Amino acid sequence: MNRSATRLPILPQGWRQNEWRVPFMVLLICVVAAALNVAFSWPMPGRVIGDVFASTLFCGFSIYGVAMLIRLPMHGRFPAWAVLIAILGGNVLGSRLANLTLGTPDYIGMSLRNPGGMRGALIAPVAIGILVTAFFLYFSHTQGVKEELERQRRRAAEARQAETQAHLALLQAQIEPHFLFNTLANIHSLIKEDPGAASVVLEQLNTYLRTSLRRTREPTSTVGEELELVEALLGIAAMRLGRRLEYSIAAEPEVRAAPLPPLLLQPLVENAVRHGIEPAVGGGRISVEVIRRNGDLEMIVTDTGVGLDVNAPGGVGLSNIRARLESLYGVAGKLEFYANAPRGVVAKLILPSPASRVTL
Amino acid sequence: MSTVLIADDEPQLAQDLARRLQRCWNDVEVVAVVDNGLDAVSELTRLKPAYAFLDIRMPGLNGLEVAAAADGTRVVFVTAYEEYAVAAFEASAADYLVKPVSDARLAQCVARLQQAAVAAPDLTALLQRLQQHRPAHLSWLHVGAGNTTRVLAVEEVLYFQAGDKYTEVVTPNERHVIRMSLKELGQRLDPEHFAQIHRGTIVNLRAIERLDRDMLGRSLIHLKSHTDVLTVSRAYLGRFRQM
Repeated sequence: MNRSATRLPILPQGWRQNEWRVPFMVLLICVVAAALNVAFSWPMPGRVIGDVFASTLFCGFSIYGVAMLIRLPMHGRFPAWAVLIAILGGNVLGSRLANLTLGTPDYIGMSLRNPGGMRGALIAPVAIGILVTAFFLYFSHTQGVKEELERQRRRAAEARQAETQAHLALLQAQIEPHFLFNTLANIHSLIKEDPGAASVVLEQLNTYLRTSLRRTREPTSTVGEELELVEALLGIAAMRLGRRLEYSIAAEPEVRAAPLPPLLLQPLVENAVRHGIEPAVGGGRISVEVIRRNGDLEMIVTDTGVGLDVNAPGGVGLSNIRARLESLYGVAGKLEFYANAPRGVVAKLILPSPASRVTL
Repeated sequence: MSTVLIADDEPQLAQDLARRLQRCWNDVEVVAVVDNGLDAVSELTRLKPAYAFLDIRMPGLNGLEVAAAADGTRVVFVTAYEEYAVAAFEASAADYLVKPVSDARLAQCVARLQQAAVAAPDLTALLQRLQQHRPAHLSWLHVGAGNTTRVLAVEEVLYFQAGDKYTEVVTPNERHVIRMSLKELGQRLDPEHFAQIHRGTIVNLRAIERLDRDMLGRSLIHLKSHTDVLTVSRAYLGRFRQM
């Protein structure tokens, strides 16, 4: 399922997953081509048979080598002129190399110099075999490389889009006007009647704003920081909703130090307030718990609000969280919802340990 | 005496409004302060106050729904949500206030209320308009998972596959079964995001990576985050292609 895991790590980018098969195919085609060559020119002395096989193999692999060399600076593209160069260059080079290293006759060189010569008869089948090799190479490469490139481009674009959305949401989170004006309206109403409570809320608003602003500069925070923000949010909500909201937050000290990207936990808590407690006539309770289970970080937001009716709004917020999870952790990051008994919702966010985080 | 009902799900703001009304309105009597729409309606019918200050977003019933039930009571909307079609409020309410409300603005509102009564607003059109925006499409699926009930967002689902008695729900990591039939799903899912591609299959359009043909000429759908390949039957291909 996870494509990046099945690709061989030592291969450079742009290589297809099955690329190791190509040299074997080259070998196979060369052997078939040489065998045909021998069959057409039968009878043939044993030594010449050896020469034909050796020369064909050298030509085949030279074409492959030249093709690879041309492809390197082309980012996986492989146009027709490159195929032509690979075939011609590879043939000449291979035949000459075979001649230099093994002492076989330089069939290609000889036929170029003397097209009508005896040995020229051997050239046609050799060239055909090698042409097949070249076309095979061309098709297998361009096809696979094109697909892979397309896939990578799309994944990169999707990841970028998710990042941009997260960034936008981040900016919006800071200037969420409803939240701000509502809180200010409440502070305004508290100042004369209960100055002590007003200063507590101001302090919470201060924490919320400070933490939110810091995030535009630092892309990651810790569980502890996020919980501080969540506590400020819930504190303000509890003041606004009066007796209708109770809340609790729990996390071990060890877990508080764990790194945590922003905008994963916070929107879940905001959802619990907005879609769980606010629409509930009798209000309810929200509990936020962060634990470590088998190395994974588990964040559980439980509310006793109205619950998820089948037609309840899913919200842009949730698809943002999913997109962020996907771009940060691949399939290892999970967001699950459960019905809480007797009412409400349990939202569970599971993040894998930092070691298994996907790097893009 | 000018009798007033205040409904706001934020009690602090409701109390504050009551106090401030008493300061700037000589003969006012706040007869009820409630924090939800259901209580608001029952107090309105019981006490029949002359005026009602209603928050828009409230549990139970929203401010507009409460206002529709307020017979003979003049309504002032109090809201922090300016985008709630402010122009529409102007047409259908005695006044509307945006939180936080300044003393000057509140005094102006009281002055307006003390003037000769305006004809009762017709809220039905406004209510209808706001209710049209509510999505009636299915957005959550309740699936059993042992003793707990798992709730899946439909956007997580890659495709639905009809089985003998159940419908299989496939997400990137899991498979679940639900009792709802494929036919019912087809009617209740948002057609912008889900399409039937086969007698037994409904696919999430956002989960599709690409559509191509195999050597037998069948149209196949490849998914973004799953290895399953789905077949598009000929009967549905035409409709599907148009999307």
